[in-house]
Amino acid sequence: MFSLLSMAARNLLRNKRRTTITVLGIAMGLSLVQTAYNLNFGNYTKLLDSGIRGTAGHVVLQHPQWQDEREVDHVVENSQVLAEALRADNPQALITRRIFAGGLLTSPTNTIPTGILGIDPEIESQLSSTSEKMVEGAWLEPGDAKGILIGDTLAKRLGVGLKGRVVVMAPDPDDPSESVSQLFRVRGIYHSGVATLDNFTGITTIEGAQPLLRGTDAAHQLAVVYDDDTQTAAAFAKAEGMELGGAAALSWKDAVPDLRNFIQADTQTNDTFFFVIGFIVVLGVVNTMLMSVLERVREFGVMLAVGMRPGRLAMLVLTEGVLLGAAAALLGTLLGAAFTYPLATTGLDFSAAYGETVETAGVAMDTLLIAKYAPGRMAAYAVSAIVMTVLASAWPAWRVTRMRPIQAIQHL
Amino acid sequence: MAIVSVSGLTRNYQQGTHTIRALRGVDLEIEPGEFTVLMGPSGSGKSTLLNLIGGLDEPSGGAVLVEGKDLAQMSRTERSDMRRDRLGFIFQAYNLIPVLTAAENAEFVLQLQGKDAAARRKRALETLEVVGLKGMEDRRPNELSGGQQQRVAVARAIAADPALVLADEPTANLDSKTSDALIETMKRLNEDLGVTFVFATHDPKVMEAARRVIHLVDGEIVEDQRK
Repeated sequence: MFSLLSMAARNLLRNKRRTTITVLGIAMGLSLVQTAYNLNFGNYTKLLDSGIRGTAGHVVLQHPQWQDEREVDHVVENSQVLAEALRADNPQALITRRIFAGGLLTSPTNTIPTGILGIDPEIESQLSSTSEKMVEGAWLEPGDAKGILIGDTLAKRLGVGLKGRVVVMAPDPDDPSESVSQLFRVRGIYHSGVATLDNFTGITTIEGAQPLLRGTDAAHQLAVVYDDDTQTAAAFAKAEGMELGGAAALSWKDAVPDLRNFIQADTQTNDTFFFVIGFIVVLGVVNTMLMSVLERVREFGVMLAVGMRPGRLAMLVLTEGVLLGAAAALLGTLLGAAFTYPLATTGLDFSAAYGETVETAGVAMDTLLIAKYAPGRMAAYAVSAIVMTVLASAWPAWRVTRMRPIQAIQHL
Repeated sequence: MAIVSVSGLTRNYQQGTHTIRALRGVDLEIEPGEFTVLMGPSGSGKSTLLNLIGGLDEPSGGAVLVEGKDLAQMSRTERSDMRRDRLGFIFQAYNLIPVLTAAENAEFVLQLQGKDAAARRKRALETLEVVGLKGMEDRRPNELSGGQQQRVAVARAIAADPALVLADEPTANLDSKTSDALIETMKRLNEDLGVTFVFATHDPKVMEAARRVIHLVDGEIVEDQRK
């Protein structure tokens, strides 16, 4: 007993070498695309995680104009109360407050314009990797209003070391024509790998930075941080439902658009690359299927002569394409998983070329790239491989329907 | 009613600026049960006439009626279906589908007709036995001799009980002993089962076995002899 499917399978096995080479070609292309995607996916996941956790949050509360105009006066007042309300609504998230001020950081030998970042050190140490990048001293203690951390490059430029004294001078929040100054002691020196942090930022506690702001219990940003992005929508809905006292709620996509845009642009570039690979593979399959059809013209002529409808003959050719694609998709997915495994466990280490960290879209990234397997996307690519192989068979199948039986039988 | 009725049939081919008139107005009727040979030298038009009767080619002029139906009025699909349901074909070479066994080749037309698997298999085995190939049903064409392959082609041609079997030089690639055996098989099918055959050939042994011989020369019937 036979069917179109078994005839198609037997036809593919007539020329085992050609079928094997075609399947391998498609499978290798697919596995390359899948592996590259998994590496990028791991990279994006890490980038997002670092970016969201370290520079914003899955949801942030801030002054409505803060996103467009980072004026020091654009604060959220009663930030502690709001933080408590956020904690009550998001018991599984980390809630933190941040202050982004600026001024002149002065040492006995130099004066440098810097940013002053006010943080909750206990929470921030769980969000940002900077706490793990101390080269001297230690991370800040909660409530330490006199402690400051500076980057190693900034420390060198200021000519201060651990326990050194620096003074922050900034406009008086109540009278900008006047200035205020605040004395800090260097508790630690870090190297984050991010130029803006290492060269131009001092990190202190919320208590240390608040005197630089106007208002009561002010902060520039409250962040809600979960373990992953799956809670963002729910957290955003909760925040929008709260009494925010004039603050605005944003999801990370709006709070850190550079990160989102970078990932989008990189994804588009990769998709273009994947499409080019797919196109090249499809050309190869078209050639293979055409050759296979041309070799069998007389045989097809006999089949048409004895009464096989042209459409059914075309279905035979398309079925051969489906089987080729399915075999290649299975093999390619297995190879993709095999290639991804070492990249997901050991990773690709570029530290020799680029150092321990590299700055991407304002986020410090490890140069050890770890792949992450994305089953949904792998299935989509596998299905695409089958679809592309069937499409590659479409023209040869169409040619078969144009055959006149007597011409096909008499074909030389 | 005649199975085939041909009137004023012409077929021209263009070769560059030159027109080849392969058939020049042929009139012919084939009755049920006939064992008819179209004979003539190469280029006489016998294969062309056979192909036109079978709907494998389209005439330049005239008409071909198979069981009263004008082939020119049929679509490609209708002609395919007509060949599937009412005609059987045996070609000089490349008759069989290489990836199918003898039995699967024999039941191929039945499969196209949508017959159920058990009925197809039964009929295929019957026809293979009739042509003397019992026990060879599971062999592929490359495991059969030329003569055996042609017998499988005969089995396929008759499996669906066609009104007419058209055979184009069926013995051309066979040795004399195998030719004799094949001709004998087809003669037996004609005499015992009433299968109607039309051959295009210049094999004298086929002509000898035929009860009607139609001579063609330069695309015209010059003689129509019934024995």
